[in-house]
Amino acid sequence: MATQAELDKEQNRTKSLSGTIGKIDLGGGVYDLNTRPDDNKEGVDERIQNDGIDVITNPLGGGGGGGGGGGGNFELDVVDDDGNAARASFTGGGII
Amino acid sequence: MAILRAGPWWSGNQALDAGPSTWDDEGPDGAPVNCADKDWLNQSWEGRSDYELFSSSTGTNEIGGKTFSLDQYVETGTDGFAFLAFGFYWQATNDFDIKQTVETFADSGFGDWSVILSTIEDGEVFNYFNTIGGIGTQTETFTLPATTLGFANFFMAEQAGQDEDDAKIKSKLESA
Repeated sequence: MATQAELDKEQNRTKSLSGTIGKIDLGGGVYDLNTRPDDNKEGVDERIQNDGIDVITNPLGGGGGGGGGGGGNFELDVVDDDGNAARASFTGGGII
Repeated sequence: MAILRAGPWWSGNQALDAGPSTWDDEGPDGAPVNCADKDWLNQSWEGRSDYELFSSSTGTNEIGGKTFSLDQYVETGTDGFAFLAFGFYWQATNDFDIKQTVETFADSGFGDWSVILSTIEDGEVFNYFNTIGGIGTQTETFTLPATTLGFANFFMAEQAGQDEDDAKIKSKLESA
């Protein structure tokens, strides 16, 4: 049985994946969800095990990653490594 | 590794807004959270001080307090018994030193001075006790360890001699 830590890790991984998928243009690239598998482009099977490694014709644009949160910049007070009061800036990405 | 700021004040296990501008009776909950012996970017270093005065002849007592800065003397009034306490939380990535000066005023007074340092990681990490009293001044330097959140308490008390009411405590903290 999976531990809670493993479940949490898996949940975080799937969250990350869903964020990545959101960056892919599903309409015209590798796989068109609106058509049957037979209508998809030559050499691209719906099941990866049937087609080996797919050729990505529409690579992720502009970074990927990120996921939820919606971006935005913010600052928080911290004690830095030198023992001084400082302000840490966080840009984009957000916090889930 | 940097430490995320807690506070501005802290009590038990929760953050509180900055302390009050006025001090009613026993004062507010909690104490300020400081960055070692330095100011935050938007808040100066401050500690919490509480005092109590008691007159054995009249049986009356008086309590109160205020916030104070480093290098700022805080003193009680004068009576048969005087008590003064300083308290603050700290966060630090390196150990640092705080020097305390304690002055007492009763001719034949006696009392004690104790300091307790606790951290969230290790509980009580330091306990100091010394006797004070009479007319005089003592100083001591304490090392506060690096911690994500620690609490420092400084207690001072002086009892005046029999039938006298000249007990008084005056003290300050400063960077060392």
